[in-house]
Amino acid sequence: MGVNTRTEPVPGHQISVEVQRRLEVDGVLPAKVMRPTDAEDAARGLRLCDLTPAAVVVWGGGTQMRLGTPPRRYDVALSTERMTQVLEYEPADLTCRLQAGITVAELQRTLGEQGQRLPLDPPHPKRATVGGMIAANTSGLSRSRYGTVRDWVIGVAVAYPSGKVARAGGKVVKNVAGYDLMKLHIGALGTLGVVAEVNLKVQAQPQASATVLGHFEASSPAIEAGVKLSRQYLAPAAAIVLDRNALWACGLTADWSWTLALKLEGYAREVDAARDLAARSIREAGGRVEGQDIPSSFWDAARDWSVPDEPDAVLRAMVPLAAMPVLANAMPREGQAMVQPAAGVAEIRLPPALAGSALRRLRAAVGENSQVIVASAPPDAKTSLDVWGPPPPGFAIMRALKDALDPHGILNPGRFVGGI
Amino acid sequence: MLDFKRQLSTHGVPTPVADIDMDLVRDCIHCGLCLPKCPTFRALHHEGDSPRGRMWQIKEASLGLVSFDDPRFQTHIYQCFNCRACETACPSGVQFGPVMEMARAKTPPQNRRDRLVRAVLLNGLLPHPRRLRIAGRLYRTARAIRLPELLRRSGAWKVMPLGKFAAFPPVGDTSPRQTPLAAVTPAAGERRGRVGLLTGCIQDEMFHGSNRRTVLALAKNGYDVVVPEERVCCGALASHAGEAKTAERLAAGTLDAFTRLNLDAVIVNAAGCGSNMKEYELQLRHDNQRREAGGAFAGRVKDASEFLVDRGLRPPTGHIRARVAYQDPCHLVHGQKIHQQPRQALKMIPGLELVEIVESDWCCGSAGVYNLTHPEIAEEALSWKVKHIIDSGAEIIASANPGCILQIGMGLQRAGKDIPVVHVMDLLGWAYGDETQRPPVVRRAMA
Amino acid sequence: MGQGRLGTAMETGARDGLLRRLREVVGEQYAFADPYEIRLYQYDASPETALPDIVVIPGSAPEVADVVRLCAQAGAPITARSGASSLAGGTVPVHGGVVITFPRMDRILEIDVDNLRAVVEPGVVNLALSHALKPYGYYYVPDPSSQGACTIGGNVATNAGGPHTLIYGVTVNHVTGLEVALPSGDLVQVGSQKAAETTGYDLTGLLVGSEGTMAIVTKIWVRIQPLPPVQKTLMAVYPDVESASNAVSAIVRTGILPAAIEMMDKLSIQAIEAASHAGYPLDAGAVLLLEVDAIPELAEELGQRMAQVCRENGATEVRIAKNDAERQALWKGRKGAFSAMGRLSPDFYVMDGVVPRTKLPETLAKIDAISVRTGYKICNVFHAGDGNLHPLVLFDAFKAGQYEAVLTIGDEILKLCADAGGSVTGEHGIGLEKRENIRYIFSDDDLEVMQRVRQVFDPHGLMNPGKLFPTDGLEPSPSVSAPSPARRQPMPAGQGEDLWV
Repeated sequence: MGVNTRTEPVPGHQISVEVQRRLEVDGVLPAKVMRPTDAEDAARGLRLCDLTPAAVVVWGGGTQMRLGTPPRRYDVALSTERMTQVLEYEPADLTCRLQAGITVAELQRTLGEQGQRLPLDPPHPKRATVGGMIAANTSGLSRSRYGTVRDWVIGVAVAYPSGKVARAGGKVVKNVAGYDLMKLHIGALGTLGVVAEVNLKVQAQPQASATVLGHFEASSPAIEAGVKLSRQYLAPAAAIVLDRNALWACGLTADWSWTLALKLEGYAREVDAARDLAARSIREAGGRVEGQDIPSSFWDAARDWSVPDEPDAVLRAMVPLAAMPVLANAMPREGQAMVQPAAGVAEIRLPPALAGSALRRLRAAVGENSQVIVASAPPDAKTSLDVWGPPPPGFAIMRALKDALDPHGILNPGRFVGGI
Repeated sequence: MLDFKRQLSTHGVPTPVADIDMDLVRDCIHCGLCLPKCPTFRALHHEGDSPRGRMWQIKEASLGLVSFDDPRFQTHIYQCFNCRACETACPSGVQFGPVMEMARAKTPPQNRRDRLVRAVLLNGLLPHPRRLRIAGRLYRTARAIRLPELLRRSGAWKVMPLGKFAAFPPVGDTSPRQTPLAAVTPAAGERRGRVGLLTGCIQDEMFHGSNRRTVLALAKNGYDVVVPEERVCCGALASHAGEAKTAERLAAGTLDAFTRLNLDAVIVNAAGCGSNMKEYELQLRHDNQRREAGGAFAGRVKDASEFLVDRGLRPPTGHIRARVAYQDPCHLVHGQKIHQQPRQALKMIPGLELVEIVESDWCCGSAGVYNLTHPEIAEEALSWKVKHIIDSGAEIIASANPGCILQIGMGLQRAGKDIPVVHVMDLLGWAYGDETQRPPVVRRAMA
Repeated sequence: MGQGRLGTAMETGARDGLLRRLREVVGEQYAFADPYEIRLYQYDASPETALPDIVVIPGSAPEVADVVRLCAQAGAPITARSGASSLAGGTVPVHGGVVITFPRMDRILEIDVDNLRAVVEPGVVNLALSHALKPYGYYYVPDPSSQGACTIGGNVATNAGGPHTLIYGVTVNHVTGLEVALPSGDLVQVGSQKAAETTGYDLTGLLVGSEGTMAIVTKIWVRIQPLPPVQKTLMAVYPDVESASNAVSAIVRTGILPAAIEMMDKLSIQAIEAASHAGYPLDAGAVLLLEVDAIPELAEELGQRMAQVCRENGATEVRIAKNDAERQALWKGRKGAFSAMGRLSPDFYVMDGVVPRTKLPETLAKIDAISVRTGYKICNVFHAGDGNLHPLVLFDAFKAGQYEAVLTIGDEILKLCADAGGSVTGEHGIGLEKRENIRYIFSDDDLEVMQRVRQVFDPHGLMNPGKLFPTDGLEPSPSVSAPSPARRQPMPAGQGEDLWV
């Protein structure tokens, strides 16, 4: 890894060993760094890397750098840290245009001043950037109610290795002109281009919100109650099922083995009705309801839980709703678990040494139409883990798309599914 | 060969052919909203057999871009039920029925079966009261001597022309003798007006009893009911099939016969006839003497349920404890936009539970003479209808048009279902005290 | 417009050979090239027409795949045509070739309430799906005004919207997976189907809205959603469109999230009333139709609050639908609005521009000025909540010069939408109609990347050719396309050291 066969010098700015270490990805260090100030700037940089060729890893806040397979090569770190401007924001249009390097927290602060928000909550918003959120498709815990990144991005400007900046979508919420290339870049881990500008749809902050906890002896009734609620009109904004360890990691303690935590949002009356419905569903499923004095820090901790500071491995399973109970039975006893029953997602945090066997067990349990990936793992553990699992359906097309947009394979080589 | 737009821009807009009202044709903006409501498009899957496709063909033919005599034009135009479901679906207000009739008038059908039906039925029988009476008596005699049972048991119906109709006749009348309707039936109770009744052609020969019960219902509601001395045929079947000349002559006769009688309203209990008579202004557009009168007359034509319910139906007292479904005749729901009144009339019968059939506003395949000219497609439409009726759990089907009653009755009997198909006015008449011709299900429900 | 070839393009021998092979796949009666019959596949709901060479009506996904493969082998263009209710000429076979239609593929394959999914064939009519879901208490959200006729397959191709997509999103937000036939003849499944998410690039998101230029959709997995307990609908009457537009902004500012905000101007109100008697007052300058989804205990309150905001912003009358029948009546007028224009004029040309919501009043004023200047009447019926305008220019195609004049007006309107920061199409698609207008919002560089993506799926340009892209200058230019040793230039010395500090 990191062996360069090129003859040209690597473009970019020389960096100190210290900075090199900070920009390490899965144990590989870059030679240079680029800090473009806008889309055109980034495109010019990519063009130079393409000519060299030099392998580029794009950096936002770095919160998702443990996602993906280790890079095959890594010469230049392209950081978006100087692209942090809010370019346009018209609250009455419920849209905004930003540079991709702005942090999610900064964006939310700007929107919050107008009583608005982006209803996505990726982990560590103070560090995570909007560009990173797009590249890693980190939507947070409210995805079953508010959708994922793809539902809120209405336009992008992308810098390509060709040296060109190409836009797709636009500034308006309804727009079907041209191909929806935004979708290609969401969750692509920066392998097709560098998202430099983003147009987002935003929404008004909810009138009211509340939290209800339900404590259970076993995981299945908690998950089933969560799935059932998600099929209702008054579905919770977020529903998570945590085991005792995960609950503790989020700052709460309970005598019960499993806890269903529900975040309710909407008009005040709707939240009242949803609270009644939630309490009833929890009781019917045999749980005990707790709805008082839950610190607001709980949801922040839950949001950040899947990107731990500790060197844990995190496995993520994505399954159909009806398969949630099956998944629950296959979850390892060791480590911590957080299930999003309404979203069909379950995450397990455990010591890296145990990740391999847990991964195999989960993959066998969830079957064909589901996926289990390694969302995070220390570099040394990754070498023995099949991070992405088998290539998804349509992989041949994905490969061809990669070749069409990044013909020399300079963008994040090797980090994406199937070795892309 | 050029496409439409290029053809017009290359050659200019040609003069439309005669006898086609181009404004009516151009009402269609080919948006396609009618397609999912078209039974022949569902059965055949070709654009040419959809309302939009047919309007397009008529437009091109009217501009001389294709020929009215083209056999493919004929096929698609005559493959249409003319059920007018597309009119209900159409937000542009296209008058599909009249346009279709204009187009059919330009191109008499070439195939043998169609020509035979036209010669025998539309021109040879229906317009001639005497011939019709003889045919009616033959039909009822055949039923009286139980010919249908014989055909069913021997299986002979399967190889006979029209065998299925002969073997599975409707509930209707079976007595060879018929007491003619009184020239004037006086109103019962407080008198509310004076109306005429179109007794019809097929309706009176096969469903004379329904006519009698219609008179009863009208009289019970306070109307003197007048029946023209001379039997009149309104020309609906001829008109819908594009036999414009016959249709126009019959329309003139009907108009004259009723105009003489000085009536508040002309009541019709056959949906096809009512729909036709409400369009007499269009029918008689070439008749300088009658064109205006046609428009005024059309305003006085009312379907029996429409009239009774809109004027305030007097509640009947006889109970009919049964699940009844109403099947919308196309020419009532689409042709006359009458949807609610027959249902409201039924709901006023004590004990009656009204249930809905899925796609109750879809054509059963009877479609005038269509089930004779295009039996295969008609059969497919009938099979959907029979399935939906069975699924509805209804014990009795009420409708309001002789063709539908014949066709659906035949389909249900053939499927081995003892679900009688009767007229809304039959049920109303029985609930008002008439005791004749009640099918066993109704007798039980009234016991 | 310099279209080059128009319609029927195949040589007789080649066409007959292909027809023979296609008939082996779909059967005699479902593939034809009869010169009379193909005339019935030259149009859709737009003013565009062009004749195909062959029409095919396949009955299953494998048949579609075989058809696509045979066409690709023969080098014949392929245009998918489902409900053919396109207002942008999306289904008009402008380069001839083979038109594939889907009336035989209209099955709802699965309703899976447990996983909140339905699986359908492309020919399923949009409204038929929601009807089928209703007994379960669910529905499929996107509801284009043509939902009684347009199909899910067509919705996927155009990423269709509708009035109720304001808070719930458009087609792409409700489609989770696709099965598509590629020119290679392969049937490929993409997306997550029933699982919440999957890995890899979001090919489903890319294919939705690609207007049939990449692949033919043969199966669709859609998300279904619980029916809202109550839909509170109200109509507000305004003296003019400007005050109505201001009311829309005021409602958005209150934090209420209506499920739909629709507006109709004076001329449209008259046409709609003539067609469907929806109960809109004929003397109104503008009518707003607002709907909010809520639980019963909240619906009344929200309805009243919206009504109050409407009144505060100049509504002369506010009417809240008391029951479903009244609600349906209010909507019936709106849904039939386009077609109702047939009452005012023999022909009309409908646009589909989008502007930021705050730019509505000034855009409408500019459109009005165009109408005054040109003498052509222009109606406005639109999704005010998301700034999606549908100006309808009324004309008579049988009068010389009118069609051309109207095209110019349309072009001008789209230009001003683009200049206001909007788009040239919000839901109808670029199709044939707006392929030149797309330049108002996208540069050559933007389009070049799109073309490169298209070629991954369709290297020979056979899938719905002549759509979506401008007619000229879009072949990928050698300097930015596929890698070749020739274009690798020596790096200027020292560059890159100082630029990105």
